[in-house]
Amino acid sequence: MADTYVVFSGALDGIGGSLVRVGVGPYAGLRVRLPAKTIALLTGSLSYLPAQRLRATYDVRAVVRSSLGKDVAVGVEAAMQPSSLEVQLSSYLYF
Amino acid sequence: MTVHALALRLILALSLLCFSAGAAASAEPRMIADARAMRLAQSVAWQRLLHYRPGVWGTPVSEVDGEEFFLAPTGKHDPEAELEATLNAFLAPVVPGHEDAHALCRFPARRFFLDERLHLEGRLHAPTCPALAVYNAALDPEAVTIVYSANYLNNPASAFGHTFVRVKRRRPAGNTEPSERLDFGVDYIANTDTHNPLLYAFKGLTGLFPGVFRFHSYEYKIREYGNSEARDLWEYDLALTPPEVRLFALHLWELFATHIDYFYLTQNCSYHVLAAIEAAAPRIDLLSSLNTVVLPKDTIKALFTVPGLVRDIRYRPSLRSQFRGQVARLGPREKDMVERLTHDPTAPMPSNFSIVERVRMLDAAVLVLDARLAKAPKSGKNANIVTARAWLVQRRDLLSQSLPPAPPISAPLDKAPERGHDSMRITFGTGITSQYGNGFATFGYRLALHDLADPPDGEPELSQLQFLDTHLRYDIGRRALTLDSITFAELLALNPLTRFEKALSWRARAFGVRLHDRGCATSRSVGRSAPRPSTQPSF
Repeated sequence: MADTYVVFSGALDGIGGSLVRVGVGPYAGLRVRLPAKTIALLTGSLSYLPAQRLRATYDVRAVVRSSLGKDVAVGVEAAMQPSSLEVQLSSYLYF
Repeated sequence: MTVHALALRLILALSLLCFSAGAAASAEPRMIADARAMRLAQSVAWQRLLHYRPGVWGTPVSEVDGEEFFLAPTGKHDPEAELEATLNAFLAPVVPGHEDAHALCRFPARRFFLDERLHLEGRLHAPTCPALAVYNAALDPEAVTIVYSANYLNNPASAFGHTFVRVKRRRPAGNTEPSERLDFGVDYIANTDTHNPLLYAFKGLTGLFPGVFRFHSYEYKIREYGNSEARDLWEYDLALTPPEVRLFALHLWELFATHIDYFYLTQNCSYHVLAAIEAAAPRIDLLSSLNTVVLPKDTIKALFTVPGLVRDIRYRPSLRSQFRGQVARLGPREKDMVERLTHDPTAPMPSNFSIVERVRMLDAAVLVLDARLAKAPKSGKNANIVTARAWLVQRRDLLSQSLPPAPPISAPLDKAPERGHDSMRITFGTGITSQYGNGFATFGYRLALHDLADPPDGEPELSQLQFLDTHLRYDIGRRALTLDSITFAELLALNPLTRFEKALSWRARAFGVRLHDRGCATSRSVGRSAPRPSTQPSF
């Protein structure tokens, strides 16, 4: 998909040094249903940041989540952005 | 809409015009004394019939907001005063020519309830109630079914799904009409008065739209949801007793004449449909199993909390599901032929196809065109599609009228709404980040509803709908608690791109997120994202 977004923050070095960031770029993903009610989801976006000091940024996320029952799931998530790589284990309760 | 549905609407409208407060009269002191002694006003049945619920201070308050629903000035807050005012109004003299305005005609469910307990017959007038008589004859209910209309994100108004009631009519002797044509669909809807989205949201969330019960022929509801809006229907037959079915129909008559303020998240279509069922069958407790925020799917799950209440389940695929199901049964050569037929309905079929295969392809081609017609009913291209469809139907009939249509597609039982996960979600997590080289713990809360990695049973496979998805993070090394992300609203609809479907995939969201790039070191940002629709197969 083609992704367009606008974000605002006082701490941003946005368009012309302003607090506004505009990003444009592709957004894509892959979803796979695995056995044992497990879903793997990989998404990624690459954003061109026009007229901004930082020219481009990206965000890649991977999730593997498995249902343990109708209202319980556990999963592993990983996220990668230019300044960080994170991995976390999560449990999900639906109520 | 069928003729009897129109007649019924007219009768209801006329009867509303006639409604006025009944003339005061004094009930027999004995009757009042009996009602007090039996504590009828405090009974669950009376409280449900008047839709009383504990208010802020724990005292009962009726959820009905129309003044015409109450006979006592304090009736909204006082079940006992309302009961006594009802008895008084029942004994009031009947004004000739204004029978429909008499309380006995306006509140037949209350009469049913009080008569069962106080044995009123013989002590009351017997007004003819012409409007009610027509209503009873037209409705003539035999059974009640709750219908869930599935959510379909390409139609954002249906994002959460919808529940309504199918009132099954007793089939008149010798009548061979399809039951869909005989039955009624009854739903509780907001009477909106604005197209301004912000005002619409504000009024919907704060109960500023009056909610009203309305009925249509069930066939109309099928066309509306199943064909025009491409939403599958799940029907849940309820095991109500004949007196409960009758009381339900009589109670609907009382509700048609009033309004209940509509709250999108709490007292919505699903909530008040269940409340009406509870009123007719006080033995059933449905609303207590609901969260504060009520989604249509939750109310279907509530039906299953009462053992034996759901007698039967039926799946009625939308036109879109029918055509997808039928096309999926075809082989590659047959699909090629179907595609050709949708463009040129006179295209010759190769002789090596059997009669059965030809009929199957013609049926599938008709369904493809039906789905296109339903999608854009007023499009200028429709004249061509209608002509093409007529050609295909004629060819099919000429080929073989004896061959039955293809068997219906089987119900996707894993997608039945009662099998879905509950609406709200909390998340606990722990992890490690390269940014500070230490660990963190997370806590998340989501108000609703589903993302692509959530348990897939009972949910659409390729859509994501999230509201108020909030994640807090505690950074162990820095001992700092931060708001990591908040999604105010997100809608993602992925559509397969096939030779027969060219719908675009799209996503829109309003969110706040902590960025981790050099454009701003760990700052929060709030934004809006609206990806342009993709023309590629995605996910």
